[in-house]
Amino acid sequence: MSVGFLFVGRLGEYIAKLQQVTEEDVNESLLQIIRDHEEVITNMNTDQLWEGERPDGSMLPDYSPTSVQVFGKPEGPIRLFDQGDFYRGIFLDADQFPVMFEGRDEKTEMLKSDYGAILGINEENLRELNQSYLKDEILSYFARILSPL
Amino acid sequence: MKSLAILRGSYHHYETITLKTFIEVANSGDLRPLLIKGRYDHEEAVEKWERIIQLNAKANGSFNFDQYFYLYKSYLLLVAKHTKVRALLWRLAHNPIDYTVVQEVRECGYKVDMTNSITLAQSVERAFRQSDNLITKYNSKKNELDRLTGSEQKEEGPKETFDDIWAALSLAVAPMIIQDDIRLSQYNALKKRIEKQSKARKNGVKHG
Repeated sequence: MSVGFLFVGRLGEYIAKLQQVTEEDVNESLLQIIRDHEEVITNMNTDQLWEGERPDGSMLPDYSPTSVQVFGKPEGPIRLFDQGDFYRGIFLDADQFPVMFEGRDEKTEMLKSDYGAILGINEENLRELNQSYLKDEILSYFARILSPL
Repeated sequence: MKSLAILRGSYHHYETITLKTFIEVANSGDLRPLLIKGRYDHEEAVEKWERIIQLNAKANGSFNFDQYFYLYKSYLLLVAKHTKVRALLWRLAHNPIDYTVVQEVRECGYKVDMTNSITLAQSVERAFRQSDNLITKYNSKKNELDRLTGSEQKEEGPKETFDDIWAALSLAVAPMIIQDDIRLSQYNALKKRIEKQSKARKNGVKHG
């Protein structure tokens, strides 16, 4: 058996492997990685809200003096936290792209309507998510599907 | 001779795509409805779709998160395509009479001239060279990804677009009429306008 024949044969196997890389498979693998990190991602969202920050970096308005004095809310930006139902209800709909941040709590739509885009993560958290959680996993998935055999 | 403009496809962009088509493409994953006229090119359609997704996500406040995964996906698919094309070309260079490979190379968008061995060799060499365009493309995705997850991005000030103006007019003239052919950008602008007005109304009630 010649070296050339071996080379062409292995190349054929590699081509067959690369042909299996479809957009659907890549989508599904990335979506699975997202689903695996859902808790980290939604926690980042609630951490932001606890600081009164929207995903675009803008701040929620401050609690009114009545909220602070009568209802015992802290001074500073609104946290959208009362009993925690809204925070606990945040989840990712990662069945397909685009992935959506959603809320199970019945107040979610009202809060979105009152306070704008509150679901999602900001740039700082996206960087953190990339560096600490997703980058290595995505790259090792890439390496797996692109490695020759 | 047909001009390049006729051969190249013309695609919808954020400002022209209807909400109906957007939803259809998002759910099916089939990008063909993006083509308005001309020849369909999947890679070009992917680029157009990504741009639509980016601008839609930007209009809806989830820009960075969506953008992040789309960039990774595009990057990977381009690297995979480049690797596959190179592997196919290597195979063709070693085994020029493999018609399956010839067909696959052609399907990837590269011309293979089988007239004689010289034209074949020349076309394979040309295809090798052309396939390097994919390197430029995936590096550009990687750079975008680095920008997104690395350095700070400067925020641009809000701009009043035609769609914002259209939304204001629609609300003034015929509120809540959503036509079947409403464009995605119009829909987003209208949605924002409605949210703003609803907020203003609520504040008016609170302060009134």
